[in-house]
Amino acid sequence: MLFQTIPFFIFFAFVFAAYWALQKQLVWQNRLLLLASYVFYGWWDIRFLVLIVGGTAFAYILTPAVAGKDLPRRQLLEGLGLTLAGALVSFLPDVADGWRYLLATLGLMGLATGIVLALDRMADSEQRARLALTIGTIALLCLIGVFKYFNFFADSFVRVAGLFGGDVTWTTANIVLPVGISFFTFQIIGYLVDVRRGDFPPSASVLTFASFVAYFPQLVAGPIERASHLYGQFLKPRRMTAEGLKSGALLFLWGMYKKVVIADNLAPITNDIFGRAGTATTGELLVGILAFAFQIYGDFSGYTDMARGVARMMGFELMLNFKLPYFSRTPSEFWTRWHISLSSWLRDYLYISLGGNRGSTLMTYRNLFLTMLLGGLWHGASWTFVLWGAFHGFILVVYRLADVDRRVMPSVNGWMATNPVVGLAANTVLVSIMFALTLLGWLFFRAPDMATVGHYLAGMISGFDMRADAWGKLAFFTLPLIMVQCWQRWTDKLEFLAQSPPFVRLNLVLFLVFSLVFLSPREASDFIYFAF
Amino acid sequence: MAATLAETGGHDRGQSPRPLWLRLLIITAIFGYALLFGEMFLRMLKPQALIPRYVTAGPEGVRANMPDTVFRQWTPEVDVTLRYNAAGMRDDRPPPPLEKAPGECRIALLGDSYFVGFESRFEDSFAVRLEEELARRGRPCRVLNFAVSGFGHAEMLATLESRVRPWAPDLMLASVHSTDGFDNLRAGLFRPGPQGLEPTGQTFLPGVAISDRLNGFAAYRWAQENSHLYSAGREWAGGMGKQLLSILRVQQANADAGDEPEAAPDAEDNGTETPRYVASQPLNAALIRQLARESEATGARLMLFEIPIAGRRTGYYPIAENLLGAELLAQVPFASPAPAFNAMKAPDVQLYTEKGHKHWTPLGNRVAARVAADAMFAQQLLPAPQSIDASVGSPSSTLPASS
Repeated sequence: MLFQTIPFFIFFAFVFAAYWALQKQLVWQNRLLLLASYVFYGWWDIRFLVLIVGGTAFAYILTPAVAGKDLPRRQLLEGLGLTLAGALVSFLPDVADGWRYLLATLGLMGLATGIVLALDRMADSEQRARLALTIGTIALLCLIGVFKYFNFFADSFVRVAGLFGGDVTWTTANIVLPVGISFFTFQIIGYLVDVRRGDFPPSASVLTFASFVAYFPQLVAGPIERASHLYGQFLKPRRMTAEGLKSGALLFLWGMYKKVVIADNLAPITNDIFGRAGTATTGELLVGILAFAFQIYGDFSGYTDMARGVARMMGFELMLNFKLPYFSRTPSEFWTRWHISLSSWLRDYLYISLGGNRGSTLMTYRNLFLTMLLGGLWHGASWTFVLWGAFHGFILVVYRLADVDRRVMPSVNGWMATNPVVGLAANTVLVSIMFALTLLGWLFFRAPDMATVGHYLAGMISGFDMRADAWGKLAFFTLPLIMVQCWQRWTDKLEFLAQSPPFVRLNLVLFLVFSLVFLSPREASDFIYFAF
Repeated sequence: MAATLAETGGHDRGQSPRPLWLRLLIITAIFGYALLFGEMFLRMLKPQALIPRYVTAGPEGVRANMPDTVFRQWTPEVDVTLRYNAAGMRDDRPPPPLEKAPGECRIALLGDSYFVGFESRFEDSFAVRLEEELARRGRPCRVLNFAVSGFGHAEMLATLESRVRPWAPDLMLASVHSTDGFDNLRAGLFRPGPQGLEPTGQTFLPGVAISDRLNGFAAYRWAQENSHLYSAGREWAGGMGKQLLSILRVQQANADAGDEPEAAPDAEDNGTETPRYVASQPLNAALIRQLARESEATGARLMLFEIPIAGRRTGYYPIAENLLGAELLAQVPFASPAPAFNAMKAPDVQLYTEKGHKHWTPLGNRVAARVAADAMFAQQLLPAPQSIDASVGSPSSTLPASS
């Protein structure tokens, strides 16, 4: 169910009406949200519902051990009951084929129960907590590993074996990637680490915890929420105000515009040019990479805005995920503006766990590089994503080596105050350099294989023919966005629609609505990040 | 602290409510402004094809062109004026007398907007190009254009008796277009039965009553020919209505045939997916057989002429076999410009308009007319000239200078 399609609007209309009616009954409202979230997730493929339900239940029954506490039997039973219910819903519709999976789920439930009961018997609470977190993290990473990376490693194994004349094609299984798996597993891992660190109390309500994990607006493509931010919003009554409804709807509208009008119209340009990178002119290659830069921004930030808008209409506030990333002046700034929920997750749970900048300078560089490398791999099982992560790790290290953040940035900021013209010029140079580096990164990200990367780079540096048919189309769809973003940057008003004077807002809304009606492609397309 | 929606009924407190009249006024003003904004938006960013049709209810219970109407069609590619003469034919000339002159040759065009010549100047239209081709071959014929936008074979058949027969044509040239199958189904005028074609309905006038009423307003007529927003809304509503009706009638046809329901066709369909058209095939074939019989009763032959589906200069796809079946096509004189179109296909050769409703360009009309004329001669469908009537002549000699 895509946000920009009729089924979602119908779904949301029913959910919203029921949610409104239950305003004074928090528990029932949360139950409704959980049910709606599972319906939303099961809409793609009901069989995968068991993954999110099982992951949630496992984390739920593991939580007391992670906190170094004893497991209440009620909590164990609630977790097992949730998994069983999820498995029955997932597999009963196709029982002829699903009974094997049902049995496997029951087996895993038995294993999980055995593990948590064994942990429960450990006397040393510190050791129990450490072991429980390790088991929980590994189990959740295995979940991603099986569904997301198995094909990649199996295919690589087949290829390597093929070089030596071996045939191991039997190892490939063509496992389908469940939508959103990387997002909700990371959200659960973050929660477990927070509980282990004592930053968040362990959950004792299966309903609240499951609602937090599965909350439908952010379930399939983020933002990857923190328990400290979202969990508490399920515990107290949400305030549904006219102001929240209006600003949520406006945020949704803006997000939908970015996705449907910008991203979906640029996608054919990107697909065409990346599909013939070996024969395209330099101008076409440039158009292709620029189109992708705006496509992925429109696609992903559009999704986030729609998610945040839907949540806000229901009285929730999701975290900011994008903050004008293409105005970044350094790589470190870029990662505080692009996919903020992932980059801060990686910083808090990976970079710091690796040692952060507490060790030697060399270790800091290693940690930075490794964090970005793994961040790249998080996006998908492909060498191009690894290269993209490595590239961002590399430029982070280079900028840190040059000490740009501490030496150059204060001067530039100072110029903005004392001599705005020079400050603006310096900022423009820094932003342009960073944007060019970002484009190079997007090349690695978007290229279907390393051969395309080679063709693209060779084509970009070997010619000066800047002609391309798609320049006009690129400008047509990106100029309104660029203008709005310049305005947002200048006024520092991210939610420019809600913050505009009424007449300006009316015109902007009309522009967005007419654009959606008349400039959007006929077919709705998936969000890029659904594949991650 | 902000009050919740439940407490305020959707309004923030602290504001005195506006009187009803003021709220209505504001809503009306915003609505009017939105329309104006939409019009400007489309004109600047996405100009629409302004393709008014000017059809009304004919006495047979199906659509007819409004007689004595002059109107404009505009797209980012073309700006043309169309005239329906006193007999409702798309023709800049007055209709000829009903009585044929000795030796005079007449061809009746039965079809939809392609044969009407939408998005073409009259002198570039298929009908005129056909007259020229025939005159060039030494067999001048007057082409009487009975085509009406949106017509399928069911409507052609319904009008044959009263509208076409009095002119005593020598040849009926009926188009076969990808939309015909669903047009025939959704018309609900006939169905195939064991004894041949069975009438099932008296009238098929989709949206005509409303448009007739609206055409009484000058503002509406202006909007049809000038408003991009109106045009976009009309296309959307018309498309949705057509789609819904098609789905219903296709399901009905499939249910009659005992098959599973099938989807309605989409605009990008290249015509190669045969099963989409199977539902309408028995009805289409029965309609064509009846058309052939009725033509013969009039003393005319029937020839079918295909309108291929265009694939953006990349190829032109035949459709007639899917719609009518190979057996029928072998029995009825038939021609298709698809091979000629495909032989010409090149990135710089444009045979269909691309920014409007995908009708034939002047080049497309000329090639199609040449193919049709070739087929008429090859299959000897025209009567042998007893005496060539000089008054018929070449159409270009009779065209009014203003066209």
